[in-house]
Amino acid sequence: MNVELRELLRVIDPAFGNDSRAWTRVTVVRNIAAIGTAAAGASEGGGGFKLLVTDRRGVPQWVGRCVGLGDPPGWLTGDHMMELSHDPVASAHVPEVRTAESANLRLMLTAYLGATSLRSLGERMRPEAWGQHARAVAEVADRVTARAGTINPTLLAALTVSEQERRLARDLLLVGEAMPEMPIVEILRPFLARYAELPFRLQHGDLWSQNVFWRNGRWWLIDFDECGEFYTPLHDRFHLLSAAPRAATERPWFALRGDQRPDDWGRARAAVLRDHAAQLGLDDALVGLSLVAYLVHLIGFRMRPPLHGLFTARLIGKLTRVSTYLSEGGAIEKLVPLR
Amino acid sequence: MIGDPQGRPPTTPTGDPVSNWQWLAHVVHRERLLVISDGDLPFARALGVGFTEQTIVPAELMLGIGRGEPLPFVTGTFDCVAVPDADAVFDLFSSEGEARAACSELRRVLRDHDGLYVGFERTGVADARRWSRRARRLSPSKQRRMLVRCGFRALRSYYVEPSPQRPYSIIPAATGAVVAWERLSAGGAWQSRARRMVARAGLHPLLFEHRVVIGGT
Repeated sequence: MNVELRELLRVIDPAFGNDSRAWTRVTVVRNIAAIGTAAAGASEGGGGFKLLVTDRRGVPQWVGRCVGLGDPPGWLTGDHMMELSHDPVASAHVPEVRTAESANLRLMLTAYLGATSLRSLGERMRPEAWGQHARAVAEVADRVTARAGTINPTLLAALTVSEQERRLARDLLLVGEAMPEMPIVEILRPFLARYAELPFRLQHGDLWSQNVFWRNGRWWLIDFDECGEFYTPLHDRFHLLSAAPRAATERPWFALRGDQRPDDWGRARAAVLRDHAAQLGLDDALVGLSLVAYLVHLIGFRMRPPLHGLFTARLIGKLTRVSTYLSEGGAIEKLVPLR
Repeated sequence: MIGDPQGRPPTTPTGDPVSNWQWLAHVVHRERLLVISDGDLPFARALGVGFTEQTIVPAELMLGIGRGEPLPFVTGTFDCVAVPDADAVFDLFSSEGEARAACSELRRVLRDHDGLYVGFERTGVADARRWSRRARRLSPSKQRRMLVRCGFRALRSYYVEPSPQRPYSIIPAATGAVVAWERLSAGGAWQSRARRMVARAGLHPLLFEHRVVIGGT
């Protein structure tokens, strides 16, 4: 096999050194873009491929990504996760990450958990049980993310109100571009007047049910690439609730019309938010404002490179529902029912 | 990384992943690449992204090569040779001897210690209409033996999903690797179990449409 790739694998897992069948241990599972060489310089795209690395018997050991050093830097951003995986406190919930770099390639591998994701587990759960698990996951995410800020204080540099307001203005512009058919900014602006009152805090950023695993009696979190992008309180919880089991996702749980009441799934979701909102001192209006800010920032993020609007359709649908609710006289205090 | 709730690959243009085979092969120099193309020129070009110079010759040229004519290049001209649709090329030959002569000629124009990419379609058991025609072709083991006899070394077979033009997954043709991949890409429960049983039984060629051989000299 390619000597450079093999050497990187040997650095991460010495067993590759003398294994003549080492090539059978590397499966490319998500080959989405050409790897640029260092000599060729940054390519237009990037992304490289994801690897599944097994042992000799085919038992998965590592999953990860291989990119070229010539690729744009954003394509391999597992540094936060690597820091956390080596931290004595956070490593109880973050799998081990190892990296290696050569003249042309950069490889980052994460220990394969062989565990069931919250998404798979949740499909078989009743709303109340799912809500309890989601609450436990969110609490773990709070602890681990707080640890990320301690390990890497640069992640906390954006916690100032002025920086958050600057980001809100930037993301509102992008939301306006993404939803040209309605005067979204004009509708939302009055409701964002109390934005500076939010208790901003560092968030995991992509805490959805496929990034959460249950193994050996505890929750494991992966994919901290967006840690440092979002600081709206409840962002992680809203993100987790958005990716609820299939039975729940089609049921409305926010921006309910006059006669609508939350069902079991809605009440389970409210329970995930309620205690934490109380801990943060958020009143009902600030919880509603947090939902608006969550959607605005996430759409803004996905409108920017490298995603250029990928995966925004559902979010735009949700923000349309929220803005329609508000423009028709709905109270922001009742936007997210907590009881 | 953004997770896609639908599990689809991103659709934004991010370069051409077809050329990533070079990171699985032992390609030392990326200067001159020879591609024997059956007419899919965009695919042929994408295979050689990163090479300084690409020479694309039509597959029909190999017909004469199999009958003893030399390729019009001096010995050791190329750092790498790619035959992206080898089935189509081998179809041109009327005997195994012709195929072997053509492979020897490819070996001649390739520098020592450099790369080879050969793409084969699976002999499609499910595709009964074409079965009789395909059955006459060289079997995978015969193809492999022939390439070895012609001087190619360290040959490794991979299954490519969904096709060499869109190599979203590149799976080593070894039972452990195929079973691991099947576990990872689990679909519906019974289909997934059935596929894993087929893989464990060593019948994994039944699971994939395309096979690629990567090697060196």
